Amino acid sequence: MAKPCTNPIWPCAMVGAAAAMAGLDGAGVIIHGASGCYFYADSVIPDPVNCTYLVEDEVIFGTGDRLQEVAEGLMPFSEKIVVINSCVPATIGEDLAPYCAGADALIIDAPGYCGDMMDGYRIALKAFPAEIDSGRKGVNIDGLISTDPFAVGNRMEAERLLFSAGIPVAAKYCNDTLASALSPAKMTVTALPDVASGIGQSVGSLCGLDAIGATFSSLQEVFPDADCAPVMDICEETEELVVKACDRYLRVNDPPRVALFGIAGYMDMAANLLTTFMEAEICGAGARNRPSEDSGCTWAPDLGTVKQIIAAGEPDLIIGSRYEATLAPGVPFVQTTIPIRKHSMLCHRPLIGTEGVLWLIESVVNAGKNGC
Amino acid sequence: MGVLSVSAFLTDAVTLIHGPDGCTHINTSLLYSTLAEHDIFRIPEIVSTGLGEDEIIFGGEDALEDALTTVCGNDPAAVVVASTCVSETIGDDVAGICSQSWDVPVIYVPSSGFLGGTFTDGYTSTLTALSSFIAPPSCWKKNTGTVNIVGEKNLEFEAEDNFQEVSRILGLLGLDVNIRYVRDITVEDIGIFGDAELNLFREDKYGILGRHFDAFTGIPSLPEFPVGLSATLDFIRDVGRLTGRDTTDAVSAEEEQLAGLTDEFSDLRGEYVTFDSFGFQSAEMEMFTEVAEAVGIRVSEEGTVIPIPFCMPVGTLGLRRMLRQWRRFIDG
Repeated sequence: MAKPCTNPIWPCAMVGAAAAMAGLDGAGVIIHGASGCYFYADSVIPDPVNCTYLVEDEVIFGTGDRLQEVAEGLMPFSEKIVVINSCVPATIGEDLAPYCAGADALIIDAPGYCGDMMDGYRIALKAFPAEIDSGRKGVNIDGLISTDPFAVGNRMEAERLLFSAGIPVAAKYCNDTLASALSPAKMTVTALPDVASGIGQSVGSLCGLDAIGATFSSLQEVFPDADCAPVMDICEETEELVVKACDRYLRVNDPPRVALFGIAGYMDMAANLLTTFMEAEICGAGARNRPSEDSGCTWAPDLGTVKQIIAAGEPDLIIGSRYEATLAPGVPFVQTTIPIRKHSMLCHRPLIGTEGVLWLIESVVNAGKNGC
Repeated sequence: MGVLSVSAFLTDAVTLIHGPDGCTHINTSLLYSTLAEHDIFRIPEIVSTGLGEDEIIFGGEDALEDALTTVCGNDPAAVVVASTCVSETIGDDVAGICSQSWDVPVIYVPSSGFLGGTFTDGYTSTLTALSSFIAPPSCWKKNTGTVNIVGEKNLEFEAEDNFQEVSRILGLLGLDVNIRYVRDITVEDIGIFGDAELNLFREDKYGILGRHFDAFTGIPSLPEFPVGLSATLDFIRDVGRLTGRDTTDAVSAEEEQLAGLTDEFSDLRGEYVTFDSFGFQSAEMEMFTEVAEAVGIRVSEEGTVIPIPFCMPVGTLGLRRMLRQWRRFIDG
């Protein structure tokens, strides 16, 4: 049932599906839709995406020929054509398979009206024909979505931790070659649970210190030759640093009253860290995506809800996007969610793993400081 | 987006987009980021009807009615309803629902991406649709010495600068601005549109807006802001002619400004430039050549490449900013 909302602030399923597939090097991704849909998707997806730029004529007389034309142009540069079907062609309901330049294309129905970006990401991976390669060593990493500004940093952090334990990395969803992604290993660790791939057997996530410890304990059982002790040491050292920094903060500050806005998995992790180490009061937690049942977040995919949470909570620290910073000027602020405007984010920061924990705590401690 | 580039600048109105949330998100995001780039940290209120799969199958008219009921319940001054690709494709009778009796004025602007035309079409349609808020002629005041500024490009980086420059030039003739239609005004403000002696359009090359507003109000109009040296002087003369004012002093004053401008950039005299339009802009190259000649710059293919600005420089101030940029290119 449709529900009106004020200023929706989370992209649609089409964007999530395109982001997932465009992260696989070798996939020729075509957004089958209008220029408006494409230009937005292209602005938030760092990998190349293409478009059929449908106009009125195609909507009336059929979109197949236009798709054929774009697919033919893309074939020489692609191992596989992937068509992301948007609202109008999905509504028209054409059979697109005959119009993919003779290729065995992957056609993903991800119209914006079927859900949000995370839904689209999952739809794409559900359609993706990955087959477990039982002979492939190592563990897959999933939960990487390129529209998340922390995705590359998260991949690097996951690789670092797995390397520390002597566990090879297999497929990475979705930041890999197409060939590698088609043949994953049996086990998968998840960077961000909200975009878990469903591919391979999940060993756990790397979102927060508790999750890292639990995941590597499980990995030790699955990979007897691995040595997860160094990772446990890193976790311990991280916790010591966090305790020290938070203690120093609390000696001269009251515990913060925090409002959290972003992807549910990140926000739950942040809430756990801030309440555990900074005695923070979480006065509101709004998830851009639909939170799971065990999440502490409420669903806040629009600015109307975000405004209400901020007004009701009166936070003295906000973790979120530039939208929240605009709504609550003057309140100390940490950016973890798109849109990230006015500030460039060039280095590949993680928000998962131990480095992610350290960055988040560091950012919170420094958020209210002025000058040197 | 063309609709929103106008409707979002009505400060007490709400724009309702009839489509999936994703469409509204795209527009909210692009509008917010563009304004933020201009250091305007404001988020216009844009409501989505939130069409989902059920509405695509069974129709979205109920969703539109529900959303209109909710939005009107908050008592905005007006609601501007914009349709989207998918709502037009499934054939919802948006016009019919908007024309029902609502507690607040509801204005419908067809604007479905690839079915409804371009950004400019949405912009033009919204400007014409909002003219229904203009008070009837019996309410108009006469000889107010004011001008309407119509159709400012609200997403243009130089929008405020351009307005200030045009206001300055109009001031030379003793004219004030009546309303900025539509930039940061209320719905009620539109009522006084008819008080002006002249409509000045930001850019109406094909006369679409001119024809509408000339027929609707009978107020004389000029199709665009002044661009270029002689064009700025001609603009003053045209404004004077249409408002019945003597322009002798104003033209002399502006000629002095322009003479000062060419002196200011005399260090560029004898330099060589060439203009690059990237094949996109429909630039009037004569204007650039005129400016170059006035300053003493020579135009030659071997000269420093000067990119043609996407938005043309308005008035003498715009030319000054443009020449500073030329100097930066020439000086390397």
